[in-house]
Amino acid sequence: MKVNSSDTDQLIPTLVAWWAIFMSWIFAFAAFSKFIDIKSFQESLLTIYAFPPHQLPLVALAVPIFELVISYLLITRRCLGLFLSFTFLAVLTIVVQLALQNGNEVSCGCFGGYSPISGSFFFARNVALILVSYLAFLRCAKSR
Amino acid sequence: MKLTFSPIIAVIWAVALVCAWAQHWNSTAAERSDEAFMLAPSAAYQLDALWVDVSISGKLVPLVVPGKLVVRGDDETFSRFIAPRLVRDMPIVIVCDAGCQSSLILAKKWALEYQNKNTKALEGGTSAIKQYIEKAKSYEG
Repeated sequence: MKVNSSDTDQLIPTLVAWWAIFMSWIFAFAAFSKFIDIKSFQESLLTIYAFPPHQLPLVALAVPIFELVISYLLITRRCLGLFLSFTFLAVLTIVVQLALQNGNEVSCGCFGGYSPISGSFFFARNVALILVSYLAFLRCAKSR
Repeated sequence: MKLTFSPIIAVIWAVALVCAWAQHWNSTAAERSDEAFMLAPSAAYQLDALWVDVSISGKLVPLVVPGKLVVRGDDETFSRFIAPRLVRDMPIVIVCDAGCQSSLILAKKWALEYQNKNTKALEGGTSAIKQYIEKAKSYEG
C-alpha cells in the first residue's frame, strides 16, 4: 500500500492537535482534582520535602492554577502550551524521583488525594508523556 | 496576551471537572466503607473480644496485653475459636503489623460472609494496639 506524503503531512498536525487536546484535559483534570481536595494535595507536597512547610498553602494553590493556564494555552497557543507541558512534567518528575531516591514514601498528589506512588510506574508514565509532548512541540514549532 | 474564549476549552474543562468530582466522590466512598471496618477507640472497649493476630510474628497482642487470649488466623483456630463467635455476632478484633492490610481484608470478608457487625480491624502493630487501649480506656472514663 502506497502512502502519499500529503496524507502524512495532514496526519501529523492532526495527531499533534489531538495530543494537545488530550494534554489539556489531563492538566485540567489534575488541577480540578487538586482544587477539590486541596488539603490532601498539601499533605502530598509535604512528602516531597521540596518546599518549606509555611509555603505549602501557597504552592498548593499555585500548582493547580499553573496547570489550568497550561490547559488553556494548549488550546489557544498550542506550541507554547506543549513547551510548558513537557517542561512542567520534567521538573515534576525530577523532584519526585529525588524524593523517592531519598527513601521517602512519596505521594505526588498528581490527580488529587493522598496515595503513595509506585516509582517505576510514575517514572515510565511521565517519561512517555514528556517524550510525546516534546515531539509534538518540535513538530508544532517546525510548522510555524 | 489576549484571553480568548474557546468552546473546546469549555468542553474540556467541564468534562475534567465532572471526572475530578466523580473520582473524589468514589475515593471518599471507599474510605468511608473501610472506616466502618476499622476499630474505633470511641466504640465499646473491645478487650473482651477475641483478638486474632495475623501479623508476621504473631505476638503483637501479648506484648501489650499480657495474658490476653490471642489466636492466629489459621484453619485450625478458625474452626475452633473464630467461626463459632462469628455466627453468634460476637466481637472479634483482627490485628496486624504496620502497613499490613490483611486485617482489613479479613474483617471485610468475615463480616460479609457471616453478617457479623462486630468484626473489626486494627492495623499498625504494637504501637497502634497501645494507642487504641489508652484511648479506649479514656473513653471509658
